[in-house]
Amino acid sequence: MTCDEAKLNINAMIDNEIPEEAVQPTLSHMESCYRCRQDYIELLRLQKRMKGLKIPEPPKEWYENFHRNIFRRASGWIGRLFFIGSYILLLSFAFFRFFTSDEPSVFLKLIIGGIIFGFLVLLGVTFADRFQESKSDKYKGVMK
Amino acid sequence: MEQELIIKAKSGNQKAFEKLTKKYLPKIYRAAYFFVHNLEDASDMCQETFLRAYKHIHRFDERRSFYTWIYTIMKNLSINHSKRSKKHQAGEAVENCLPDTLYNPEVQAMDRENNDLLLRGIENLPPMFREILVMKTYNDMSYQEMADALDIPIGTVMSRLYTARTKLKELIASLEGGK
Ligand SMILES: [Zn+2]
Repeated sequence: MTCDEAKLNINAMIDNEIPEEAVQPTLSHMESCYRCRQDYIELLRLQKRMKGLKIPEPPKEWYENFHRNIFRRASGWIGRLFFIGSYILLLSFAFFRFFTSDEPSVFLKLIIGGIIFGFLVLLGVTFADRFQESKSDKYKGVMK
Repeated sequence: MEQELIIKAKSGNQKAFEKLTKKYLPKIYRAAYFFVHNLEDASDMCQETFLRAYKHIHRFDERRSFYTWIYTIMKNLSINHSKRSKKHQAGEAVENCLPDTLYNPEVQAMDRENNDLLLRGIENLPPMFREILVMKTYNDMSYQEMADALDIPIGTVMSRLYTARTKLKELIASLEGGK
């Protein structure tokens, strides 16, 4: 066994992932090779040091309330759907009444019609932009 | 057992999803922390990750590893997050975000110094090596799981992990030399 082969096995030994048939040859190599033996000791030392690392942790309550926040946020779409849906219906109804009624002048109807048309064009352009962006997003397939 | 939970979660059972969340949240948090380098962003990243997982769990194939799937969601969110905010440069983040609570009087000054040094070493590793080291050391992923998550052969996992450890040893030595 060469040192290069032994290195990877030594690394796998630290992780308890060394194939059974490689254990004995690796141990024999280490017995006769000071450098690999040293490598093993240093890797073990590093592993122990890494296991003791402390990173900033969120408070316990964050862990406890975590799933509740997820469910709350996930169900938010129902509220949004009702709110936006009803709003659109209400607006459509108001516009329908406005344009079918005889009271407002044709001039006023044209102005309001122009505003609505402009708004719909802007909305269309924004959606088209979004669609183009999402088409070029190389991470969009992550959920599959 | 886990497969059962996943099947239940896929059919809309919140309790099952809650159990999966409880099991994997600490691991995902640790992995996210090493992507974004601060508590606040890592916490947000976890929320986004599990929210997406919850919304899309019906698309998850239960023959695959659930953790690998969640990990991939978190990783992609983190990549997009880093693209958006360039404010956290490697290295500078460590000093800024370790909370005082971590430094209670019981923690010896020596340990604190060691902790900082190691954290700085890990943060200064090239992302590819940092990721694989975190997966193994702080996420206890097997070589096979890492190979699946990174889409690389097991042989590459082994050599990349070895290189990561060697690089980290060198980085720590140079940081220790320069302190
Ligand atoms: Zn050797």
